[in-house]
Amino acid sequence: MMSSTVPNILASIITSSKLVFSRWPYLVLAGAVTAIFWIIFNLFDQLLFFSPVVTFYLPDDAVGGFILSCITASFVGAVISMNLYVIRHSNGLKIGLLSLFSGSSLSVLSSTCASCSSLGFLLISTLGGLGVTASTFLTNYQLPLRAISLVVLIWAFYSLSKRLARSCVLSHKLTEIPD
Amino acid sequence: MAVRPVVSITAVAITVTMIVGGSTLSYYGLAEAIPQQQLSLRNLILQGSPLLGKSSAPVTIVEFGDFQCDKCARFAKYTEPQVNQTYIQTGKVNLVFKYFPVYGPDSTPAAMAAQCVNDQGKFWSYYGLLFKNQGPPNFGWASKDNLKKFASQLPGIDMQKFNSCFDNQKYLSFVQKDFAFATSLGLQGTPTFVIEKSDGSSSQNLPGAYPYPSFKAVIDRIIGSG
Repeated sequence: MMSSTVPNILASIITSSKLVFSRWPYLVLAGAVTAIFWIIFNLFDQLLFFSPVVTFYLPDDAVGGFILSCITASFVGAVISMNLYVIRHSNGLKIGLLSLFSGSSLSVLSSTCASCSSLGFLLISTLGGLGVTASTFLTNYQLPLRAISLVVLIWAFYSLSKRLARSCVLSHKLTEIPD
Repeated sequence: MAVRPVVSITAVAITVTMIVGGSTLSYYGLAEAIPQQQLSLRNLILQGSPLLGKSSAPVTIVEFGDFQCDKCARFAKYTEPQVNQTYIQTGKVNLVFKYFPVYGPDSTPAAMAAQCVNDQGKFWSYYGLLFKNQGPPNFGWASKDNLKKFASQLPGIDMQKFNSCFDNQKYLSFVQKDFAFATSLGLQGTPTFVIEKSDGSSSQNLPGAYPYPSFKAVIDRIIGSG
């Protein structure tokens, strides 16, 4: 009950973020992953071009998608970095492989998939009529798909934060137990 | 113990990045030159493709597009006006449109309607109108009734002539030929732009809704190469 209140959620997010991102390798990793996914999303959205000249432009019709992809890229970076922290500092704690998969990996895949509509022709030429349906679906629901993938990422981020914050509290209590 | 999961997670991340990044790069690719003798301006005009600008312009941009494609609309709204003002109005470049209806069932009728309008010299007004009113693909915005309604909004259009052309599918085979031509060139999506000298030489591909600076760089290089 208590853990579901907003101040507690915020506290666990702040605690876990401090715990992970106060160490520079995790901060650098999060930054690097964010940058990689930012580039990938913007290449798919045809906002960033490397050839014939390096150009980035943001037309009015792309602002919504751009904001969502920036937030998604940031969360992907944060979640992957936090996952890595959990794995490295678990010290024998069982890390549910399923939760890792359904957390960061699934989020990465779903958010990447939301940007697939640019590759509609490849889908169409490969899958024929089914490709048309898939391409139309991806194009028409690009923003909702991105929003869903972002929700999945936020959920993964929150789950990790909660786990990390809880483990801190547990360690603290353990040290307070008198002999 | 913790090393193995770290390695596998890193491997998954790298694999995903490489797959996604690789497919992106292969699609948008660094501009590749493709052999296209058939893309000379003379051939394109003979084929009846819509032309914007002076036929004497030294450089030709061939746009392979679909009226349902959102990135084609982006080019029409943001980049084409800049290219038009700087290069087409000054007689340095002309723009030719080729139909590449890849977005589904409503794409071909839209292309046929546009070619019918081209009979009356109003293709580029219709081009702007369709992209301005573009909706989600195959959701009805490009239905036959709507295509007729858009055509009727063009000043001076002869609707009887248009309806006859459109209803009789006069340009179905024309659109299909354009599609076959685009696929024979190995084009993989819309919009794709081929920028070349008017004789079809020095061609360069821009596969995607490239912004104005990209067009400027390619056009200036082709003009500069004499």
